[in-house]
Amino acid sequence: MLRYHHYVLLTLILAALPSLVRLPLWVAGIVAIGGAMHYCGDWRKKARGKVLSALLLGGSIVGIWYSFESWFSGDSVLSFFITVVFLKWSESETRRDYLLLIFSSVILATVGALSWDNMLNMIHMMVVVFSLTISLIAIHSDESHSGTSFLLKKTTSLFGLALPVTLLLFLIFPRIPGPLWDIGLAFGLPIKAMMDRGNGEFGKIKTIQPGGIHRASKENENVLVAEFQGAVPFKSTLYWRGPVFWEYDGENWNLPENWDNRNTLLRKAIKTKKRLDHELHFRKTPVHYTLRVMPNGGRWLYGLDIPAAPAPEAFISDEYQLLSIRRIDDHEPKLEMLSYLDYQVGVELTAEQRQRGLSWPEGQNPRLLELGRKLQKTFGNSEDILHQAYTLLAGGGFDFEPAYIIEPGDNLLDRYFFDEKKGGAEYLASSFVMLMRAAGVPARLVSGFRGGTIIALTNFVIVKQTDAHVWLEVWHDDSGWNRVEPKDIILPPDKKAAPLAAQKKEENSSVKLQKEKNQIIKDVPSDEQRKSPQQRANGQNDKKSWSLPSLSSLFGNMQKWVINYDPDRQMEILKGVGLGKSNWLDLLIGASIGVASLLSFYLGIALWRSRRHRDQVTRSWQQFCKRLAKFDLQKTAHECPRNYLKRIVKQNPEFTTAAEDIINRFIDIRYGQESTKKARTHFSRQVKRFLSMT
Amino acid sequence: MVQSKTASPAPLRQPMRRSAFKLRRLKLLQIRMRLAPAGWGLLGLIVVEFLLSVNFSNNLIFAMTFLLVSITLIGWYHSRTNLSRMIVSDWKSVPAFVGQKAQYSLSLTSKSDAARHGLHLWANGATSSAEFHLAAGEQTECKLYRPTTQRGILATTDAALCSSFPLGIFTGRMHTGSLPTCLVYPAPSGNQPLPDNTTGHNAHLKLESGTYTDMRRYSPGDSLSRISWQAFARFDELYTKEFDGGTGQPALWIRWDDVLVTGVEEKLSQLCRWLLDAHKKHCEYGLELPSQKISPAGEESHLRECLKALALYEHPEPKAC
Repeated sequence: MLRYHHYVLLTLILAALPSLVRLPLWVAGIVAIGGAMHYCGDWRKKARGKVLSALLLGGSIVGIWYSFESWFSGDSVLSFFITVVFLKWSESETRRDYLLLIFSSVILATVGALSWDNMLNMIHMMVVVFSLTISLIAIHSDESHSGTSFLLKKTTSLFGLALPVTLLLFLIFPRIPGPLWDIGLAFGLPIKAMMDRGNGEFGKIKTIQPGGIHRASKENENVLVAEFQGAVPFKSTLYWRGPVFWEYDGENWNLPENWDNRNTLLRKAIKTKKRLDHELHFRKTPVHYTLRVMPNGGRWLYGLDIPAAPAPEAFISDEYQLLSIRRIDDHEPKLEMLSYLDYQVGVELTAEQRQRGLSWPEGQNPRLLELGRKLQKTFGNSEDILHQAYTLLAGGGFDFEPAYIIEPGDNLLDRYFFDEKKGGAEYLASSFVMLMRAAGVPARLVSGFRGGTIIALTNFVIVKQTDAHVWLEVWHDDSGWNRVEPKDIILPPDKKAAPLAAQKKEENSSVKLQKEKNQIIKDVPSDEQRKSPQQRANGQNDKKSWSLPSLSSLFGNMQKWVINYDPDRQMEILKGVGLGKSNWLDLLIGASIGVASLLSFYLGIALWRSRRHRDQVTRSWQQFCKRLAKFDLQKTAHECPRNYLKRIVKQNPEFTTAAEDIINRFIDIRYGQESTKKARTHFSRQVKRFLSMT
Repeated sequence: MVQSKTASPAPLRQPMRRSAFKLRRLKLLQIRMRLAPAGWGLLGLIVVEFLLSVNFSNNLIFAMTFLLVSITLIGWYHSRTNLSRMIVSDWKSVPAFVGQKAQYSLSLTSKSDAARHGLHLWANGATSSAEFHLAAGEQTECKLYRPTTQRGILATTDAALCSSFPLGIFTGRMHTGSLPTCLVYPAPSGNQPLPDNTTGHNAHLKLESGTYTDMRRYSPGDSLSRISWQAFARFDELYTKEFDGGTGQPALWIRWDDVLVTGVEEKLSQLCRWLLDAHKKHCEYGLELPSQKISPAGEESHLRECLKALALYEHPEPKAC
């Protein structure tokens, strides 16, 4: 009887398990009935069995109708798929049926991986593939050899050899960042055609609430597509500039009432190149790109920070945003743009602007105010103040947790900055703005998007709601508005880039941080003292985890290298190995070479082993014949040793003694009763002697 | 059923032996790996998985895709080794009557240290044998059957030893050399009784002793009683004595003209029936066809000769059979 179907069932159940846990209970019920029906023998082939199958299928449709909102939502399709797979199982008979089931189990496991994304799922995936391999082997081995131990042995050897190859492919194979449907955008499909438009109203926002950025970033809506001329700059340097906020009421940041007034905006806009050149007095890293913006209900074109070229139907506001003259309600503006990634902008601050840039909600956040005042007293210079604030931030033990919401109420930023020390970009940027203001440095909040997704193999970058971000700008009297990114201080982009970023910041503000650092830290004793125990504790923790790697830290590392592996980390590894910048083609070639060399290594070992197993006598005999062949005495395949000896004696009589001895020994070993170990060694020794003599 | 006979007689093979041997060696070394239907399925699945993993940038699916790819690659090697180090003999064919299945057999020896699984033989148009396995160093005789529909010679066709073990993703195919041609005798049929025209013709039995005529080298199959032991003692080689044969019993003549049915094939079928009946009765018989006359005899080889004459009636003589 066929025994392999048990393995197939095991594979199916294992693969469906993560989905079954998540889906409504009736799916599991149908799975159980379908699974059991297979064992009902002939009964299921008869009319009653068929009716039951049809009923179960109907039941699943009814279940989908009741449980899910839409016929085509992911879960309803998945439920239907599972039902069909298990009903198919119930009537499977042939090898082909079972193969089909095994393949569908791969799909099931994939769907499971989509909903659960952790190390446990990684192990689950391994188990599913293992059991899949067992099933495949069981299906394809003849029935005499389907014992579990045989299958396990075979599968383990296959699996063990495959894992290093998998690891290699996983690490080196070029990663194309998804999603794939974004590639359609690169070829000119309208953005809104590609995705649900959603509410499309994010351009109408007037306030930034705590947690709002996180809420926005959960939406997968597209915002814009940019095609760069030449190489795409580092993603972390891409700031897409949106609304600029000045007014903070203690909880929300608000735009002024009439911000949207077209006449006012146009009146204040930077219209001439001369004025732009005048205001944008420091600029570096120009980038040319084409911008396509999705309808967003507002005027925001989200030009790259900082826009520096006029465009039709658009203007640059006095807050250096790229705005559309018409509201972007249903058209999709497309414009050629020039931006400078590094900039200092603004010549002078009007009294009104200074007042707005220093405004403070009455009675709020006293601790932040006090800290700011202290900074102002210690350092007169706005740049020194900024650096001291960076230092505080860097040593403050802050965690960047976009999803964390601090309980609303009074002194929100005080609680964030001094107590909770964790939260999203809006808390961080807000408190930093307020700290600057308290220290007498005019500052404002800028919202928009940061980064984006580079579409594989192209110069296109897609920016989504996911990339929503806020940062700030501070005013230095001698250099104008400067962008400040507190997030990079508490969450360095990556380990290696961190010192680089710090260096950059140093350059930008042209302050010799090194010299003053010690002094600065000494000068702010109260805060530092308060932090030090915690820091010490952190340090101890670090030490502990290094000296004694616990299981959880190992798991964490696996999580980091497996679940969160991405193209950037891939590049990091390659750099670590000593390869410089590599593009996808290098990676592809590297992966192929790597896999090929790994496989040839396996092959080499297999060859070596087969050679080692070759019979000693045969080897010696072949050496002997090979040597005689040099004397024009090739042994023909049909020639028996005795005839060969006759020929040798006839042709080269000088070999008679040696050849007689060797050939007679060979005949004794092979055809006589002399096949003892001693005889064999002796034979080999004689051959060796012969080889050395001739 | 008639006894088996080797596919290609020795004399013809002799002159081209070396080159043919080389060619066969080369061909035998060739294990061709192809994607099995399940392999195509898996390939499609891998592509889908890869697209999914790219689309969702999901490392788990990436890992799964790469794991499947690696298992496929390793499986390729395992499938290949499952066919390696096998020694294949020449095919042998057994003549069949129309409607029967022609049987081919092949001796397989595993020279490997590991067992071989999921093996089966394949040939164009032949029914595939059941899957079998070979333990390390084991030898086995496997058979393949081809249906016959027409009298004459069943043409040669390619044959191979196949295996999809372990994963069924790749099918390895090792050429075993072509299936040899096979004689297909006409199906015995017809209800005319065996004619009784024995008059005047006596069988001449070559194998019977009589007057000594000649001595020739021994060839396998010669009767031991015919070996000249004196010659052996003298030359250390075996020689067989030949005689001019003797006169047997009155012989039965099976004649084309005696068949009453019309149509060549029907006539041949009737003749075939008679031949078999006569052979069963242990009488000596001769065959007379319009183009050929076979003098009477009674042994197995005679029957085969007669049947061959029927099978090849109005067909050109085969080149290598």
